[in-house]
Amino acid sequence: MVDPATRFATLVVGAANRLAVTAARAVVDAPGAIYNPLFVHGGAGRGKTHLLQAVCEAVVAAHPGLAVEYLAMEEFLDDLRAASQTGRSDAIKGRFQRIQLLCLDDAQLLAGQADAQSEVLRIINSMQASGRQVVMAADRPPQEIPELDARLLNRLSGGLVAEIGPPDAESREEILHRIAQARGFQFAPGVTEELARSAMSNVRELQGALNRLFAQQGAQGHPLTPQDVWPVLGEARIPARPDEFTTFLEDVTSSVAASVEAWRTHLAERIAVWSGLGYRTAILEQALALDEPPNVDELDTAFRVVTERLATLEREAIRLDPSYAGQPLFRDPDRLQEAEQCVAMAAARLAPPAGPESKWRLQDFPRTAANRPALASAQLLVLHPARVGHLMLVIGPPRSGKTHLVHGIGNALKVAAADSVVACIPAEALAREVVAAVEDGSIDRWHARYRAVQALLVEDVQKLDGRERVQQELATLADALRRDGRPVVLSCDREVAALGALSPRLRAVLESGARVFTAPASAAEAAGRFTPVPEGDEAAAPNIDAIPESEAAAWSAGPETEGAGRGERWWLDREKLVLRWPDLGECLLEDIA
Amino acid sequence: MPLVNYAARELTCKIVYYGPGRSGKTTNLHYIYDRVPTERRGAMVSLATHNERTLFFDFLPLDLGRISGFNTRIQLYTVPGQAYYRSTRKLVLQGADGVVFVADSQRPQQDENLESLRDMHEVLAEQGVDARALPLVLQYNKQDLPGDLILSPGELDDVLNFRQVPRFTADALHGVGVFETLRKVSQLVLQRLSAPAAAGIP
Ligand SMILES: Nc1nc2c(ncn2[C@@H]2O[C@H](COP(=O)(O)OP(=O)(O)OP(=O)(O)O)[C@@H](O)[C@H]2O)c(=O)[nH]1
Ligand SMILES: [Mg+2]
Repeated sequence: MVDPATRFATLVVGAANRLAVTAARAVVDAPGAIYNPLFVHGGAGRGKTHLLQAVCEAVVAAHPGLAVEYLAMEEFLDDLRAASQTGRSDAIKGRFQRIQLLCLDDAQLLAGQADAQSEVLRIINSMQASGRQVVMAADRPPQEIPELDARLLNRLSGGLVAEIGPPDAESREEILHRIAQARGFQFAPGVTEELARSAMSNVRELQGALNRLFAQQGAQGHPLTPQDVWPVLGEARIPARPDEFTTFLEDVTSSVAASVEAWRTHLAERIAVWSGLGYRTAILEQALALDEPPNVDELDTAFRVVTERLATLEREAIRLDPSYAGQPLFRDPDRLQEAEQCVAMAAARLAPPAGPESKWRLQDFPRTAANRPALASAQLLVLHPARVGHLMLVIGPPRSGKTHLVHGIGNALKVAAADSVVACIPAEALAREVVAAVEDGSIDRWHARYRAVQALLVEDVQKLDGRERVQQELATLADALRRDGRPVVLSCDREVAALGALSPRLRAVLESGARVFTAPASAAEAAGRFTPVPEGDEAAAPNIDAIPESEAAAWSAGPETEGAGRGERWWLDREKLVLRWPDLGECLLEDIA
Repeated sequence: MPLVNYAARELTCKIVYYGPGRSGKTTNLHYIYDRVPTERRGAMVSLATHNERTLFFDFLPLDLGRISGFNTRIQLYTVPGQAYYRSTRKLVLQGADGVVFVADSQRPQQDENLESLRDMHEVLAEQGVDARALPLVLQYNKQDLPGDLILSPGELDDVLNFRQVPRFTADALHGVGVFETLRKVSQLVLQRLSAPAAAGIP
């Protein structure tokens, strides 16, 4: 428990600990309001525990009823170990729920303790979230604690990190004076001053030395003189008189440190942490030069958001291509945009959208009377996409061969432009991708992936009914691709007019495309001429050249718009059918030959 | 204006030892030079005549290491005290962040002290520097000499310290008061730096 003898009043405040003490007082005034967590660090015996306990005590006094706990890390680690051995980890988790001020001492003991670290991270997160105060102490700054989880490091250094330096000669004198007073030690003038000259920065050591001097004085029966000090304490303890320059430097350093505005120290600490993590901190350094204090926490949070995004991007980039590991690009918040683009491009290149299934070959598409015009248009799209305005809408009832035709076109396009990326995806899958990308903020990447395709084929767009965002993305994408001269094929089980909630843009896109129609094969056709390619027969690459020349010749007369099979084409409406191909024959024949 | 490179977090400031001829400015620098570890100082440049009068200036760069997150360097300069080197003094004083005025405590030198102090204010005014905003420390040197030869600190105060700036008695030859003086002026300069708003640093 908190030792009642330790108080703020007994703290000797000097240049070395002024920042820490001032921050601790601010915490006492308004726990949880600022500097949360407050992290104080400094070498052994400089009063870190004293300060933590003073905070506990003062908070209890100033805010009666506030639940306060002082906990040494060792004790916490023991409890954690015991709890996990007895399978009662939940008890630990519940333990701090009521605590409104938690002072955790010796945080350096978290080094390498992964479980304890995640527990502490959890506690800090939950306490911060509910405005409860955490104060921590360690013998070194957070960034120097080995094997510390990056998120925990971020939390620990996210409030205020204040160093307690070695007390200067003046403070040492005051400390010795107070110890002597508290213990009723009487010394001749100059004795404590002589001891204060020692370079000892550990208050416990100073205290021990004072005890020995007093004991010696009692034993010899007469007062010690300043000259007796070092012989009593032993030769080894005689301080090497610090040379003038060292003293000068120490004094200048500590007085400047004490006069630097707290926000600059805070910001400089943050810069040290971030640059310690390998990030470029130019943005923060610029803020360091400001006249007016900026909101350091806001700056830092903004910086953290960017670094977290960079870290996500880096992970993604490495997943795509391990050679991205350690790229400086992902350590420079100034280049976030560039990093986004880099990953987007890598994703487009290395994780292309799904392509058509190779089993659906255009040359195997059942050449029924009803499907022939559709097949002809498909051929045309493959060979002369400009002729169909780069956009084709395949309309047909279920089981009429839309999938076969769409994938077949996709495969033919792949052949036509060797090695190109052809995206072929059901509308529902596309919708899922868009929603996920919007949710995790990677929609730019999604755009890049799809903007990189040579052709886009989307099946069953009727399933986008009412999905406004997805429709918008599809419309934008389709527009962009066809403007670039890249074919877009969409399939739908009904006419555009019959589609439900449709964004005007997507409607415009759909209506601007050439429409072709597929019909289910008749029973006779199904039984006879057209045998589906068995699955796994991918050896036969899709090849439009495989289409018999006689067929091609037949198309050259132009797609049928009426006549045979009309009865089957129940959706066919002469007014809506806009398949008129001027001077089609020659080109088609030439190209196929 | 001190040179602050925020990106590299580097800070360089210039402190000038001013005062009448033979008051002990160069002696201050020599004492400092002898006590600064080699890795902390650059070469001392001293341009003097054969009889040790400073001709142009003395220059001693010190590296104080990291102070409040800044790599801090201090450049110490002395001016030539003799009256006819005014233009050199003006040159050296240019851009000073702090001044140590070294006065000679010997009674007969009081007029020269005053004259030099007036000269300093004139030079600053010519450079458009507000002397009141410039960190200034007085050093009453040669206080080791016999009492009847020198003025007491109080007597010197009456004449020289009308602005009530920090002042130190010194025996620069033996180092008494040398580092105390340097410490004070460094603190004033660096503290001013650490609060640019107050100092009007853009
Ligand atoms: N007794 C005594 N002599 C000193 C002291 N300081 C300097 N001197 C002597 O005074 C003389 C002049 O000292 P310098 O340091 O060269 O004087 P300065 O101010 O640099 O003179 P200029 O370069 O001509 O402007 C030297 O002979 C020093 O040894 C002091 O504190 N006490
Ligand atoms: Mg000189």
